[in-house]
Order: sequence, then C-alpha cells, then structure tokens
Amino acid sequence: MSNLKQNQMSRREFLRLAGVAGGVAALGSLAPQALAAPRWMPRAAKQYEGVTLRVLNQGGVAYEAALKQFGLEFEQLTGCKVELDGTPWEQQMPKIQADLASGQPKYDIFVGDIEFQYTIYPALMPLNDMIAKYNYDMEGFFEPVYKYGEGVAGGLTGQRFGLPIRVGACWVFYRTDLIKEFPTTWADYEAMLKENTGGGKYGLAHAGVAAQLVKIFLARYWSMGDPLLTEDWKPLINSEKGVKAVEMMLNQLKNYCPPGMLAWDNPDASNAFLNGDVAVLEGWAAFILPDLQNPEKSKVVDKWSVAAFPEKGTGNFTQHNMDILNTSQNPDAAFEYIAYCTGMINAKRVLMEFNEESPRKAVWSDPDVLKEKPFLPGVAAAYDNGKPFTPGMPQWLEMFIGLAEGLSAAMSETQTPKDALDGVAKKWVDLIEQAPPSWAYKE
Amino acid sequence: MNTHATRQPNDRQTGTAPTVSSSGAAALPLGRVPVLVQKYTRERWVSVLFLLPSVVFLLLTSVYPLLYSLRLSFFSWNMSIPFSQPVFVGLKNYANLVQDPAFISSVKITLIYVGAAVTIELILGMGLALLATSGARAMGLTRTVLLFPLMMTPVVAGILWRTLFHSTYGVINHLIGLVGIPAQTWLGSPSQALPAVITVEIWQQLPVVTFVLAAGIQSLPVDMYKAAQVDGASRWQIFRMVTLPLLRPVIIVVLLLRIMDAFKVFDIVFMLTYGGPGQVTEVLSMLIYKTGLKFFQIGQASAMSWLFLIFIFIISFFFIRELQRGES
Repeated sequence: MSNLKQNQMSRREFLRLAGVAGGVAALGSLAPQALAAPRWMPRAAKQYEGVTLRVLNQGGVAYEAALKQFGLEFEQLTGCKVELDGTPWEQQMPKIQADLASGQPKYDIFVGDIEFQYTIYPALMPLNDMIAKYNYDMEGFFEPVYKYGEGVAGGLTGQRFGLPIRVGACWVFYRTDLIKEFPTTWADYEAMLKENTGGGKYGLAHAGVAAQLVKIFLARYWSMGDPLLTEDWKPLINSEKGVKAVEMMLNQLKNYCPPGMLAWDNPDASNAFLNGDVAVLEGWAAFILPDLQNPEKSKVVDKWSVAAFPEKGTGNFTQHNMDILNTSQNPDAAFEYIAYCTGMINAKRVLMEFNEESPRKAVWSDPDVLKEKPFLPGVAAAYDNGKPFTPGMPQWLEMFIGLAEGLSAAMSETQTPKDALDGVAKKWVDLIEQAPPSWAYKE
Repeated sequence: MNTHATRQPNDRQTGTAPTVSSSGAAALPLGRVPVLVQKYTRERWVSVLFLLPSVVFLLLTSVYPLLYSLRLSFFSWNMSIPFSQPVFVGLKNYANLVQDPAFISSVKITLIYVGAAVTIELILGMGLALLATSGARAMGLTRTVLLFPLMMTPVVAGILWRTLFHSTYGVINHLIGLVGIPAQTWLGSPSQALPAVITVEIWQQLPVVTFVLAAGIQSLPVDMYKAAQVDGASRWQIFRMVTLPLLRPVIIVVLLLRIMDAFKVFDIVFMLTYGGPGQVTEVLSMLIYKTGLKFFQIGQASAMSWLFLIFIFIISFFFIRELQRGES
C-alpha cells in the first residue's frame, strides 16, 4: 500500500492542480454555455485568503488524514485555512450540541455519521443550492448514498444536508493461508471457525465493546430476512430470528473467540488479526486496511482477503457526511472545501492514498485501484445493497445504544438473549412514543 | 426632673456633643448619627460590596443551575428531538427512577464501588501511614513512589490500566502466567470487571489516604504513647486504644472526603470499561452522563442528579455529625 503524504503536496502536484483550475476557469469564461465545467475545482487562486474554516470531525479514522492533507492543499490553492477538531465518536454529539447551545457556535463544518444529521438538521444548511451553484458532480456514488442520503425524520424529502467523505459497512477479513474457500452459509462458517480454533489461535475476532456489537448482530439478523421494525414501528428484533442471531453471536464468542473480547475495541480486534492470532476478523476496514500490507505492523502480509458475510448478511451501511452549519460565516468556502474533499478529483486518492472507503463507486473499478486492491469488487457489490441501522429519526442514538447495551448484556450472560432483546424492544417502543413518526417504517 | 446633659468620656466628636439623660442613657441629638455607628455601617457596606461579585458569581454558576435542574426534574424533555418543549410531569421522573432497573443497578454498583474502594483504602492507607511514620528504612523512597499515581490524571491512569489488563497482550496476565495462573479476562468479564475498576481506584487514591493519616499520626501527642509503653501495653493495644481514638477526627474527615469523591467517579470507569460489559460497571455518574449528555433526556437526568445529590448529602451529614460529636 502507498504511504500517506506527510505534509505539503509536491510542487509538481500543486502546479498540476493550479493549471487544471486555471484551465477550467478560462474555458468556463470563454464558453460558459457550451461547456458545463465542473466548478467544484477552486476557481481562482487565493480567493479565500484570510478565511479560517473550523471543522468538527471524528478522530482516529483513516479519512482524518485525508481531511488534513486536503485542508493543506486547499489552503495553498485558495488561501483558506482549515482547522480540524478530531473528536472520538462518543463525544461528537455532546460536543456539537454544546456548541450549538452556546449561542455562539464556532464550527463551520461537521463531519460524522449521517445519523447525526437526524438530530442536528435544524442547524445544518441544505446543500442542494450549493450543489447546483458549483456544478458539483453527484454521479458515481454507491446506491445507498442516494437512497438514504436525503431527507430527515421522514420529511424534508429531497433535501441533502451532507456529502459523504467515506462509506462503510462491516467487512469480513480472512486468512487465505488458513481458509481456502470462504463459507457461504452460517453453518459452514461455524464449522470453519471451529477448525481454526486451538493451540492458542482462534477462529474469530471482532470488537466486543457494546457499541461495536450492533454491526455483528445486524450481519446475522438481517441475513435471516426480517427488518428491525414493522411498518407501524413495532420492534421485530426480539422475535425468534433476533434471539437466534444473538445466540449465534454468543456461541461464537464462547467457543471461537479470544478470551476477554468483550473489553476489546476496534484496534484490539484488528491487532489480533494483524498478529496472526485469529483466522477471521469482522470489523471496520478503516481500523486495519492501512496496516495489513505493512510488514512492520502486520504478520499477515499477502495472506489475507475479504469476503461477504454468509447468507447475504451485511452490517449496517454507514456514510460519514460533511455538513455545513447554517451559522457558518463562510458557507462558500466551506462548500468548496467539502467539494474538494468529496469530489471525483480526490475520490481515487481517498481510496489509494488514505486507504479509506471512497463513496464513489466509480473509482473502485479503476485499473490502478484494482491492481492494488483486487478484493474490492466483492465489497462494492455488497455496499450497493447496504442499509443503515436506523431510519432518520432524532432518537436514533438512544435506540442504537439501547440495542448495544442489550447485546452486551446478552454476550456477558448477565441476561438471556430473549430477556435482553425484550428489554431493547420495550425501550424502542418508549422512545418512538416520545415523537411518533407519521410515516411508515421501511428499510 | 434632672435633664442636665453630661458628656460621656468615650464619645467622639460629632459636631454636637451627645447628651445623656438623667437615666444615664445616651440621648442623640435629632438628625445626627454617632461616628462609631456611621463607621460600622460604612464598613459593613464596603464588605458587602467586596463580597458581592463572588456571591453573584456563585449564585449564577452554582445556585441558579442547581435550582434550574431541580425545576427540569419535574419536566419531561428530550432535547434530541428538534423543536421539542419541556412538558410538566410532576414527580413522574422520580417515580420512574425507583422502578427503573438501570437506575437501581447503577445505584447498587456505585454503593459496592464506594464501599469496597474506601474500606480497602482506609485499611491499607492506615497500614502504610503507620509504616511511613515508624522511621523504618526506605520509607523515604516509599513515600516518593506513592506519589506517582497521584501525578497521573485519571484518564491517563485509565489508559495505562486498560493496557495492563488486556486479556491477550496485557502485562498482568503475562506476570501471573509466570507463576502458573491462567490468563484472566479482567475487563471483559462481568465478574472481574468491577473488581478491576475498584483496583485502579484504590491504586490512584491510596496515597491520598496514606499521606493524610500519616500527617495525623505525626501530630498525635507522644506522651500518651510513652505512658502506654510504661504501662506495658502491646503494640496492638497501643494502636487500638491510643492511636485509633486520637486519630478518629482525621479518620472521619478522610472517610468523608473519600466517600464523596468515590461517589463521583467517572473518568476511570469511562476509560476502562465505559460501563460494560453489559452494565456491570455502570456507576451512577456514568448513567447520568449518558442520559443527559448523550441522549439529552434532560428531565430524567436532572431527577437522577438530584437523587444522587440528596444521597451524598445524607451520607455527608452523618459524618459531619459524627465529627461534631467527637469535637464536643
């Protein structure tokens, strides 16, 4: 894998970008009617001199380096400084809410899970007009970006509040030296895990802290075909299928996973795979992809691949969007920075240079990309069928954490799977009653 | 009637000589205030003016938010729902809490946490304090080493111990493995997670207890010990009948401060387990944080906070009363 760029871009790269920008601007000025120039390139050098954009983003993810590098490049092109405030996922909601409640919000851009929009959308600027104004290229995204990326809480249909810097779902990484053919049924999957457990090695690792168990559950539950709720918002997770999914997780945890995994977060699980201690890792690509082919950090170089979950299972599809706060004093600069980060011009770099999952499906089949990452087509096919965890409702976080804690109680055997899921279902009913949606639930 | 005025020797000049009636009482001329009273009044106003900024600051930053949260505790309000408004529900939040399994569980866990941590800290702290004041060799070095946990912020301590407790790559499992004990799951085990978190709390706060008790021991009168020795008392008898009774006020203060502190634990639990696995380490402060600042269920969180405050107040009141009883 290529190394990350460290600081400023090379002079050659800067001149190339400036030349393209100048050429586009010149063409656009000569024949504005004849050529629909993509205006998401910075139009004129240093037009945002003196402007500083403050960005609240999720810290510790692979795209944080991309935001930083693109920020430096954007500054060189436009004069606009970009300051990043990387915050752990757990702290993002309290931080942005506190900032908004202060009456003097200081952030221009918020970058995080699309679900955050469901709560803070009154403070966000709809981007539809900006997309039109700058001829932002909306082609080539994965399907869920279109399907789930607009509207909030069942309303505001067609309104887009953010543009994705990355998409993701839970990947299944496996050892090609231990597993010749990846199983396609859960029964075969368990048999494979059993075969690879023993002698201090284990079949499976995944993050075991509460919040990370949700994707593991969803991969199993959704493969059984049921949605999370009925059309009239009654929970289905505590059905027989939900209990079966949790029992599957519990059985795998007890028999095929390293001990103490319930205290593991994503980096711990990734390390277990990188150290060669486990045969399969179910986890977010961002926490392991940058290191898999690095011999200094990985003992499984060239001995791994990715696969789909058995029986068409899929963890929840995530998109991390870049949003503009409607209190920003520099919305145009903010949008152009977002366009620079998320546009087609840098989509390939997000994938190649920063090892982050670009939301632009188009670059996943680029020959250069496929040469380095031959496993991507399988993942891309799964992404087009991905679905997010919750519908766009403000109580999503409490629903998510409620499910997470229920799963953790079941995994730690402080509750039976049935009791844990019944508790979650009751909590969901109470939450939905606080603000009953007027639209039918659908996934 | 004799109304002859007499000048009082301590009177100060007011421009008009004060008069004294035949009964001996000072009689002031109408419209005039003695300098002494004037000065007292002026000084009082000056002191009020000096105190006013601090009092106003305290009212705005402590008293007002406290009373506002009390008000909120009688409302139902989910601030995560845009444009939502608080709805008055009376005592419903409080009534729900006493039936809420999560709240009851977190109270139990908090009580276990505080009880275990403070008790062990007191016992070990007393032992270390006696050693530290015994003049034994290497106590100087021991005292210095004891300072290390105090120098660490709880967040750093949490990260450090999270690494030490790691079930696969942690040092603790490696060390116990050397003596034949199988690796433990520690933070990933519902039965071991809480003791592990308590261990970290003890590790970090033991030096505080030790130093305070040691200072108390060093301030005790030596004569009592000499008298006890002359009477042939054993070391244990001296400790039980001389040291402990004399140290009682210090012990009560240490207990009071440590209990109040332990109730408020948050950062260590946050870094080590975030309340998990399940909710076996979810102390009350974590539940309040989660309810109020993650889920923005403001009414519920305010009610929890007030119950928490009342609880700590009752415990503090008990200890302060014991202290006052001892003093009297």
